[in-house]
Amino acid sequence: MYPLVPAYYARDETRPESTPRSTRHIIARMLIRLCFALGLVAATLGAADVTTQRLNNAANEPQNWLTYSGTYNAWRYSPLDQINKSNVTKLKPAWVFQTGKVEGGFSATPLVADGVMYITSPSNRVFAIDAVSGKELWHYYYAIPKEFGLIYGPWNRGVAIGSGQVFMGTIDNHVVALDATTGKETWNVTVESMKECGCNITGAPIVVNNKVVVGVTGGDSAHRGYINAFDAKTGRRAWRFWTIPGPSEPGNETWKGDSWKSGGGSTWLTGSFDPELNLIYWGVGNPAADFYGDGREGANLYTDSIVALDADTGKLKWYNQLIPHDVWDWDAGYEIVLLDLPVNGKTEKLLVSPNKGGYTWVLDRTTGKFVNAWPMAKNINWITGIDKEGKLLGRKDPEIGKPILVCPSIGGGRSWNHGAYSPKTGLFYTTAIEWCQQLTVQKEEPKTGNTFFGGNFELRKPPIGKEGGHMDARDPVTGKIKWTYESKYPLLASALATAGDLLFTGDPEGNFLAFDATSGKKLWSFQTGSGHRGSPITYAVNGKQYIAVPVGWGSALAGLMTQLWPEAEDFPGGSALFVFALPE
Amino acid sequence: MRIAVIAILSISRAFSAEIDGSQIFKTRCSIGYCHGSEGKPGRAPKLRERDFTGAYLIKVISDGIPSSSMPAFKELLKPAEITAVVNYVLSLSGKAPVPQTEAVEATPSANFDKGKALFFDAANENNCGVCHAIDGTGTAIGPDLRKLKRTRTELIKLIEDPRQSKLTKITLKNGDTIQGIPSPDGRIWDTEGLPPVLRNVNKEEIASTEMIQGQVMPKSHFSNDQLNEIVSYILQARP
Repeated sequence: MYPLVPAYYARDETRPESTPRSTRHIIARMLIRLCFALGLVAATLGAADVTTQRLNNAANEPQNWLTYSGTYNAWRYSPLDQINKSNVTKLKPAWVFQTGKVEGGFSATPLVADGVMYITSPSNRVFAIDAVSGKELWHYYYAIPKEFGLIYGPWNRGVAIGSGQVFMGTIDNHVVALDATTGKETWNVTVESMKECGCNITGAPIVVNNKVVVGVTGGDSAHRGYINAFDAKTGRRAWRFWTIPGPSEPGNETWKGDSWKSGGGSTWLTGSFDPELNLIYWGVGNPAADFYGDGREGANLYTDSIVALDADTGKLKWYNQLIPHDVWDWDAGYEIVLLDLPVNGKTEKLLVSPNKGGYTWVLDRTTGKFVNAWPMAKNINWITGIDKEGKLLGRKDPEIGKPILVCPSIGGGRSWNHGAYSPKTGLFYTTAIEWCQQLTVQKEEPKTGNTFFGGNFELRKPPIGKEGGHMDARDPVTGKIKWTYESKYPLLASALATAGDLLFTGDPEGNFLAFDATSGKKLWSFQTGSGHRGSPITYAVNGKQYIAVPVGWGSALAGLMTQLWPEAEDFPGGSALFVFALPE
Repeated sequence: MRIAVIAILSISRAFSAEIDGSQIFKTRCSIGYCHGSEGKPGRAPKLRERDFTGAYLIKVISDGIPSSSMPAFKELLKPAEITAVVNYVLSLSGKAPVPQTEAVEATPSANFDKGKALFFDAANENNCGVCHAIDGTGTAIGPDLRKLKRTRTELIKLIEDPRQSKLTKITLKNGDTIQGIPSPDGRIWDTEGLPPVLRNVNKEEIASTEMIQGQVMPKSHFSNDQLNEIVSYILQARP
């Protein structure tokens, strides 16, 4: 149901107003109150009323899921506890929503604002859905270019909301803004021609201080990466941060010759934001070519780095390059979890970021200084360890033409699917994968916008233990394991932690799982009919808690893993959002 | 292209037999998140033990698969290289090769490639492709440069000393202004900054509209050599 009057008139009285009320506003308010009283508006106001202040304080609205990771700190945690370990076994599906687009897998994180859910499917379909009934309020189908031909996509990880709009990056490197009430496109900007750059957007944007901040793929292409911020209202570009410094900029000397022009450094996932420090944290991907490093001698800044940017200007505040001169296609692109925790007895502002190479890094988020790094996977052989200063020990760089066993595989000691942090248990929940690959490096010259891997690989079983995945509950600073759940297949779905002492995730066989967050005991599972590659969330409407999970097998790794698990070739695709609730 | 390939095949001969399809496959097909090595499954489908015909593979490899991750390799590989890859893929299923092809290629001038690189130069945030499209690449806001009947000298002058453009200036009731170029679908390309933004303005929000002259095309910072290269690209890209 649509609101009967423009939704931007419908503000909560408790929230501050920046503009004085006009008579028109007051009349509109009275009207909308009347509509509420008559039950005509239901809960369909949605993102129309999401302000900067609400986004900055999203933790105060546990009924909503306003940003990609629920809150800017990337916890993927909800204080909702109506569904908890004592009643989770009673969870039943409330409704299911089919997007109709199966190819590529359903990788999204749904957002929920005031009773309206926003999801993206593969191929850039956006839906606004009544979060109670599952009824579609509007949809927006992006026109997919016929000449696509890119290795990134058609999956999409979600939208951002704010300023009465819904924002999405597209399969052909545009950013579009939609009116949150109608789904009508308000603006559309080409970030860079997809055909020329060999890049696009599959990650979700975040809205920070009325700017839409969004990354780009292209780390496996001859391309120079960036992060862009667009004015939420007009679409005009506010700033761009190049992840590879240009000539005359500090850091350009870490690239041989012109290699900086095609050096990758994608920003394919979503960053975090600390409103207090006004810093945006974003992980920068691998240098290109992925495996052939002779053409780009040097440390290759700011690839494989975490960068802290001034949210207003995009200027670099600090960086920490985790892996200088990466030649394995590792990445620093995964989530950056912001935590204030004691280190040596003193509470520090930290960030915790799992890395594709199999380690999780812990940094001081004010200065970027190294604090710790701990391994997630058992099978890591490209280094022998990391010292107290953050220096890599015992690097095993591959040589051209000589096949070498590298652990983990290109799929990572963990894939991008995000971990969760519970302040209640103090644990960080993250998956890990045990698998390796035989890598052969080959010399390759860059051709702008074309793939630029510089080698190829084939998956191999790991030398330690059995191939497969695990979900681990760990101390986020030391990595100490509290509990582990072993899985036959890599776990490729994100985690959700709740104050109900629950941890949710899904597996490739279609099981949606709930664990006791403290003990790791599996409490409940539900067979959804297709594998999980997306990110579950929780929300509440009219005091009732719901758990929502995108279900739909697919993606690059879903295909790649068939080299070790041939039966996975027959795993069925899907693209359905399941929503669960307790019976009345 | 398909007709061209068939025509080429019909005059095929044992030519360029030295091209090793398996090597091209390694650098173009079994990479990253695409096909597996030696045709094993990857993210993209397996290519061994399949029932492909040579003609089908030539078409798919040349033209790609619409709206999918499979690119059109006719833009990346020479016809003889495509045939070599086709034959390698056929061999993975124990199938006989198709005849090799004789490459018939246009040889663009050396300046063409340099000009194209400048036209879409990623390091230049205001590169030509931000507002002009050629062969489907770039954003088609400014004039279609292939259709401009201009000489080399005239084109260079237009880049060096760009003219002002006729712009529509919209003043909104809230005082905001948008100036830019109307799009055929009723929206407006906001050109106050680059890249231009395609915006949808509700009629009810508009206070006034006027026509103005404004500078959208940025002043040239190219050297004479670079100007020549860019113009060579534009002239040769003409259909």
